[in-house]
Amino acid sequence: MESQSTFPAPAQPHRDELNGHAGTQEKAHDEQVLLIAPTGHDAAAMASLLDELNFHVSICNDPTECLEQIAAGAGALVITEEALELPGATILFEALKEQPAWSELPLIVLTSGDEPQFSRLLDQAADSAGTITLLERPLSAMTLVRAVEGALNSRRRQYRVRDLLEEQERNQRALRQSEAQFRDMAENIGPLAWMANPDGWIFFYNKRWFEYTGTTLEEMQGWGWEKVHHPDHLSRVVEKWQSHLKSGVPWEDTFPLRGKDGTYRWFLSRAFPFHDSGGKITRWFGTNTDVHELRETQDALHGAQGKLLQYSANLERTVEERTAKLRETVRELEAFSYSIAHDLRSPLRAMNGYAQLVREQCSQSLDETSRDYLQRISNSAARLDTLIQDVLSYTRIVRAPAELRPVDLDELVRGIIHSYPEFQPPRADIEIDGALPRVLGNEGFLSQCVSNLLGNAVKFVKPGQKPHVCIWAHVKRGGDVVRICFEDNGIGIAPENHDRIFNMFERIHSVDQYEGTGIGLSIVKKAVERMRGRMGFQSELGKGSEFWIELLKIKD
Amino acid sequence: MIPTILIVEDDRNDALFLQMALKRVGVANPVQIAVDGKEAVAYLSGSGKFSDRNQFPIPYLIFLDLKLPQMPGLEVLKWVRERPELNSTVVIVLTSSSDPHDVDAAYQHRANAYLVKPSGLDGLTDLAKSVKDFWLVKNQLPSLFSDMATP
Repeated sequence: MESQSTFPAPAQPHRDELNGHAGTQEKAHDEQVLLIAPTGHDAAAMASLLDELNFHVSICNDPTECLEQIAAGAGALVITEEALELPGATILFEALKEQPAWSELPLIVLTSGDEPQFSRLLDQAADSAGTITLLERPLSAMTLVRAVEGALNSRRRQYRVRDLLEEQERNQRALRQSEAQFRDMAENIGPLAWMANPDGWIFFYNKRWFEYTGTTLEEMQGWGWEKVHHPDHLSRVVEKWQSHLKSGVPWEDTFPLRGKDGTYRWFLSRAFPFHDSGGKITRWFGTNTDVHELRETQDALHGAQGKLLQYSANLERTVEERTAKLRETVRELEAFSYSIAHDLRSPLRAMNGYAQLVREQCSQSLDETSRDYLQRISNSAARLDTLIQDVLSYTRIVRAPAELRPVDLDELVRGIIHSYPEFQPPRADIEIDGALPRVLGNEGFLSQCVSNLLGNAVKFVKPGQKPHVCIWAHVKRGGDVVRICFEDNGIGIAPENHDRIFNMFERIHSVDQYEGTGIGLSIVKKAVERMRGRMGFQSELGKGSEFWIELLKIKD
Repeated sequence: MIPTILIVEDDRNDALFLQMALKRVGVANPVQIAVDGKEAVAYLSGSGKFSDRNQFPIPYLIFLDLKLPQMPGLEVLKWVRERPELNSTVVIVLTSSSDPHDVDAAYQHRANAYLVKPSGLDGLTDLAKSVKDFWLVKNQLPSLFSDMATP
């Protein structure tokens, strides 16, 4: 066929006129225009024209050459009628049949005008191509350019579709991945988990569920989970679950579930609904958390608390009972002491009295020995009486309430000295060195202590020696405690006896040497204890003793 | 008539010793004995066999033991102090207990004095002497008893 020149002589279209279209387009591979016009100079002419207008152009000498370009990306294909007859064209069209669904590479065919020949060739092309634009030669540059533009616009729309499809594909992938992640998480979290349709039909359980219950999806799906509920609790659970399905309010409940070993454990269960963009519930997601140990611990705790309260109440009761018993015992002791005071002493008075009367009234008929025996009876009775009185003093100190008050020691000591002739000249010299302070103590107890200590001091002297006692007080470091000292010139106490002297009834000497009951110091020790003070002594045999008492000083 | 002394004492020995002690120190006043609280009250109220006041006059001085059967000494004391006609009677508690509680209780019930029974006759005689010197010699007797002289 004689090739006709594509372009007539008339002038090229003005560039500016066309720039509006070409200028805004990217020079992308996707938009390259492929030219197949193997004969004549048409290809070159067209290429040059299009290129000047910023179209991306590639010339293919053979249809099969185009295939490579198309694979890389093509916007439109311009082909001459003559080229259609080339064997390569068939290959090209076969290839075009394999385009992806969105792609329909626009064809622009430059015809010669010969109808019959052309229609045969067109049939061939029609299968593979979608849009075919026919341009009859000769054609003006403008016509070509408009056709190419149209083709490229069409192509661009196809590319948009392609992009949308790709995006959709990406979204689908992302969604599937998200679903997979979610499933993964649901399977592997600690608690049992499941998902239900809005009507409550459960379609998914995580592997924990199956591990715990030892069931399969076939057994459990839908409402099969009722099988692993405890019969006592099932109806209330179902009722509550159904009411929440209806109301859409997140659900929470605690109930036992049967494990695969047949035992029940308590689970704290929760479910909440997913909503679509319209606010409708699309599914429920639920979990069951094993709280069995917690519950048992709580129960144990309650039990323990209950027991504790009980023990506490029992303890209070026991303490009350014991206290009452103790008070009763103390009362009995008091009554006992009282009885001792009277009932034990009265026979002694009788013994003593009658022995004396016999001695006095029968002195004529009695010999020395008999009189002596009678005297001993009297002495023994008197001694026992003193013992009893001392024991009574001791018990009084033990059980009396020790009310501690400020006591003027100076007054107290002077008073005692004045009360007893044995503490005064000529029988003894007792002097107070300096002033005695006021102390926190009990007047009765203190009197007892001072008289006992002074009594000992004047009693335990060498025979014939006049007792000399010095009393003084000094405040100890700190200023709170005062020590009152009783220093005597008596016989002193040997080291081996230092521990013994405070024991009840313990006496170092025989009654013949020094009379006494052996209770005096026990009483002093007890009394000082009850006044929360301390006592002690220093002594050397033959060198006298110094006894001291420590009490709290009253601040002036 | 010289004022009577009433000894309220359940222990026969103690009663005997006290009488002897009083005699030893020269107390010649008549001495009556009540062996328990009930009898003391009967005597003082002049009931039953004690209605003859010539034989059983109102005492000026009472020695009162605290530990008595039937009616404790403190109750007797209380009873006595409720009777205005006995306001002039001196009550001396004479008992074995030296417990401060007992002492305080006696004074609360308005005893005139509190003496602790000593263990021996000598002690008792000494006490009797003090009582005689103070209550029977030095003390001014109330008119109820004062037209009586002490020997």
